[in-house]
Amino acid sequence: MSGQEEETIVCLPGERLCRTEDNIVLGIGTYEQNGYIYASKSGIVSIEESGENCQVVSVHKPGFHLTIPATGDVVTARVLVTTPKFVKCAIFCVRNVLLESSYRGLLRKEDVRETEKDRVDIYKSFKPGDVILARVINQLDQSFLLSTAENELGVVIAYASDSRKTRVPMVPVGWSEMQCPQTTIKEPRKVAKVLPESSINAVK
Amino acid sequence: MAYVALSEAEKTYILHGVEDDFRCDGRSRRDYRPMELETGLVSNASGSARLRLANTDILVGVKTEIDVPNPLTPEFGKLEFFVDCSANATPEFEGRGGSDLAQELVLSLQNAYESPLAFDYRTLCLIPGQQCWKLYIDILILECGGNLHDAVSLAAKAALFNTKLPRVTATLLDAGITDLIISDNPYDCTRIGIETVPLLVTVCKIGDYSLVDPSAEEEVCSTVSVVVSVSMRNGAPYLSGTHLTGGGAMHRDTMRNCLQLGLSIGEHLDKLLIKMLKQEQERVGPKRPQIVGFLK
Amino acid sequence: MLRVTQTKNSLLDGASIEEELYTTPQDGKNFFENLDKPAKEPTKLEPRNTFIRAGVLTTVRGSAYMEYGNTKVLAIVAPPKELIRASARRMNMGVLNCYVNFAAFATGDLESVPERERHLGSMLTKAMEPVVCRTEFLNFQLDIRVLILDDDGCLLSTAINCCGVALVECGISTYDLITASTACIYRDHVFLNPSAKVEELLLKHRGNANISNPSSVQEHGLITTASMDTFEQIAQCQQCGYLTPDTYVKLLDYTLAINKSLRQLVRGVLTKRVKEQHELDLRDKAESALEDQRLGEIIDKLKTQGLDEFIQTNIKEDPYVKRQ
Repeated sequence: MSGQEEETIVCLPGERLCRTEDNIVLGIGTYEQNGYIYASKSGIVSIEESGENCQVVSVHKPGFHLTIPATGDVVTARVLVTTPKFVKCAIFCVRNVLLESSYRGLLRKEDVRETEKDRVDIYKSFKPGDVILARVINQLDQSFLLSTAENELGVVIAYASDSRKTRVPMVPVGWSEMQCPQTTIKEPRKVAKVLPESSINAVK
Repeated sequence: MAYVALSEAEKTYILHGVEDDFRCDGRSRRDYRPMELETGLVSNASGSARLRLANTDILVGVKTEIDVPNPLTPEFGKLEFFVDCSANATPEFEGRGGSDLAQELVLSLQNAYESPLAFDYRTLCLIPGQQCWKLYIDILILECGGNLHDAVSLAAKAALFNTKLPRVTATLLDAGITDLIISDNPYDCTRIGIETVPLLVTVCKIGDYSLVDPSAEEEVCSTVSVVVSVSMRNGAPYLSGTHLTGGGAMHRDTMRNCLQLGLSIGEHLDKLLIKMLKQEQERVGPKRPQIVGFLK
Repeated sequence: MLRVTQTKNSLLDGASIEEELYTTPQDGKNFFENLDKPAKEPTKLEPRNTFIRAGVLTTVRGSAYMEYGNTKVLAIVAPPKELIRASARRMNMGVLNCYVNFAAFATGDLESVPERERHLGSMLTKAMEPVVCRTEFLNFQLDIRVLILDDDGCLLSTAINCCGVALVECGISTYDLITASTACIYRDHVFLNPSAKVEELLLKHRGNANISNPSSVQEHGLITTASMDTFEQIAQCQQCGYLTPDTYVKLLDYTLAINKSLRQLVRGVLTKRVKEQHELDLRDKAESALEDQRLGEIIDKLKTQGLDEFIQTNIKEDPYVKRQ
């Protein structure tokens, strides 16, 4: 953030920021019209260098950010329904932003694993109630299409089927299995190799 | 509006056509598509009209009822619009799909007819403060081919022209109660004055140009249109209700130009419509051609 | 001076109440005579006393409250959600829905409320559509809800102003700031920002002016204009009544001038809001940096001390942990 050392420039929607030039890239909160860049949000103007004398002009709104899942984002979702062909889930977190309201997500059988796609069994990969990490690959009419076809994506928090009383999450014991530390029951899951968030986004 | 899928190339083609003042169907920007109008084809309604504007098909029926006038306007009758977007017009209208469009049309018509200078509500008065006519204008959209506002207002005006209100005689009874006697004779009737009844003209902005009577395809290309309600009074055009629609915005000068275009077109359209209606009326009797209805 | 006529109220069967200020055409005329009439041509094109505040509700992210004279309006923008009706989907645009509700005490005339709510909602949607960058939330619908707390005329324009502020507050991308105002003409007098009484007079006693002389044309009408001034665009211009084209343009120009001064006001409010939030953000950031630093120290300690020792030293520091 360059805001701290420089003087902060406040702008409002519709304010003209600068002329469009080849080495200026439109960042978030801006739009282009008739050769000029205008702000589309209220906030603080920030100009960031991004290699090869390219500058990104963007407007950062302080306080609340409106976040909508976009294609390519890693989202956290809760599994609601499992069927032989797909999993329905509720997206409640995009990247590291908790959403105001949850969005519908759909994870098809083909997008569960990277390899051996034809041998995927949904029931051996997810159970309702699991919390999964997934990547948004498309936006359908009514829901977002998700994919867990990466090592880092899949189930992160899951409870064994009969552990209603204890509510101790299972511990991963392999790529496709999780074990309950109390009852030692093993259950199949598409397990995610949990990494720090920074490295997941770098994978893109 | 009814939704037509258009590719970018098709849109560009339409846009270029508009720029060259030569639209896809050969019209210039100020031309209307061919219209067919027939009145009096619904036997159960007091007045009716069917208008076909190229692909847009509208059927309007006017029903009458005796009502009590609003105490604030004792000398005024009442009008009520109802638009039905039947699922026949486009499959999109199925269920509640057409309700938004229907509501928009009703609101524009209500707005346009609201002023007593635009529609003379006093002709609907029977006994001031006690009895008045209430007209129900039911508009049925049979096919949706663009430019619904204009088509609906034209058809409504024609149906109002065709409306025959039976003559009513009132007798004063004891205690100030009046008794209404409605004439049985179908030829003993009064008409409604339609000289000032407004017409809606949609001026559609495509690219940098404005045009009238957009087809369904052209409506998809346009960013914004102005619905201008033109009422002719003593030979001069008046505005009885305008609003912008279509989700875009326009400059003040463009707006003025659109208004001017709408007014001049509306004036012309009004003249033609009244001429045609009078012509049709004069052919009553043995000279009257058979009702064609939907047969062609 | 005002006559009260008893009318039957359908809500309270049998009982009758009176809330109309004037009920007969003659009363309307009298009312008009006693009204403070502005000059035939307005000299000052300025808005009413206005109060706007963004972010009034803590439960909703995008909210704004506006007082325009005595008209009080609250607007709420909810985060976009998936389209409920797939058929409502437009090519490559998000869908905008505006809902207007009257508070039960907002207006005296209860009968027409549902119709007015629908009408205002539809006009508000049309006015807000051009300003929102609808391409940014495809397949989504954005719901804007407006609650009218007090009605003293200029409802639509106040609602538009308030929604504009709420949208910016919510962080929805907009092409510009939108401001709106109302002007009307009645018996040759131009009223800017008409009060509820004038609006009512205009709509209910519309025709009485020319009853005595039917051949003369008495213009009457109301214009609500919403504009976006960066590109000098008119987002919505709704007119009702009966006007000559010249009068129409005249009223349009009046409202545009008022919109300009309102825009300055809105800008001031929003700029202040951004600065306020920016400071809060900076403070938050400083706090979380401090927290990170503290955590880092603990981790360092842990590394050098080993687990058991660390727990022992930590327990001593924490007075809330009971020792077993």
